[in-house]
Amino acid sequence: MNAITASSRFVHNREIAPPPTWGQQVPFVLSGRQSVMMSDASRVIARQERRIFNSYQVVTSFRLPLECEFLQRALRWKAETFFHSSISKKTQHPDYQRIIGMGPAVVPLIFHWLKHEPDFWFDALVAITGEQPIPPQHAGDVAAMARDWLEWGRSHGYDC
Amino acid sequence: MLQRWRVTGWNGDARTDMTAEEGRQIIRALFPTLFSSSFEITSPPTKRYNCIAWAAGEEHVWWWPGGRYWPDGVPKAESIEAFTQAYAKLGYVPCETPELEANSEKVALYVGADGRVLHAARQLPDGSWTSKLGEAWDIRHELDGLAGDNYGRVARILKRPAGRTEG
Repeated sequence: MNAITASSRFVHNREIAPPPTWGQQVPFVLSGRQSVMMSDASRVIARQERRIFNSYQVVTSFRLPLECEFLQRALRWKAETFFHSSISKKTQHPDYQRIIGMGPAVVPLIFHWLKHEPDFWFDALVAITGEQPIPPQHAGDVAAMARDWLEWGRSHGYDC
Repeated sequence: MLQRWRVTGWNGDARTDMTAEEGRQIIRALFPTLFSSSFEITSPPTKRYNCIAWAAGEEHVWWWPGGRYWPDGVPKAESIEAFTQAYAKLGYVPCETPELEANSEKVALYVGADGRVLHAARQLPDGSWTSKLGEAWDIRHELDGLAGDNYGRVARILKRPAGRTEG
């Protein structure tokens, strides 16, 4: 029987994939290279995505790897749903659902995001925490909804 | 001179700016029909309101059934009937044609393949239409310019007497 060691590439006589490299773990690290097949519009979007990544100040304080996965999924969710009004389109996006599935560990990250930018994290927070601190009169006021959640976070010991 | 906006909306960072032409290219990439029809960006991006609110003349809340602002007494469903009832609160009733009519204001509802409402646009006095694109810009466009995979098709036209502001 083959022992499983860091350098082993065989388990039970079957070849296994090598340990992931940094590039595989963080596939959203963006290079300046662009596919020659990209249209002008796609190139503009790609440039905007790079700007999102490069400029988002939250990234500087995130730790790996949970934070990286959160940020990768959150930015992709944002880029693919920002033009939708439909809340269900936003909240049923696979990355949004995965972030909900990441559980309480991402709550501080969501609060960090909300602190910098009111955004549509309310349904995720409700799903993860089971709480609903938004009063009915604030429904639809995105800034007020974000403030309500940040206040709830502070009252429950989160640094936000 | 290129018009530059501080984009505090979908890309999250106020330091990032974007030219109007870059915005136009992103919009065209999302709505390819706009390559062949005219449109114009008419506002900076904002999350304060969405297309449903904008079509209703609101600029301070995000209208959507379930968890966001939604008129009292209207079913919290994404069906075209529920949205028709929501606009009925503002005096809109279904009508047959999107053509410009004197003394009438019109709203168009777009639905996806599954029948759920995805978008609304409001007719302007010159016959063109204005839409808020989710968290992004307001644009002036032709009615069919936004039809496609993202917003579906125009499924219902509503109208009310011009100048009416509430139901």
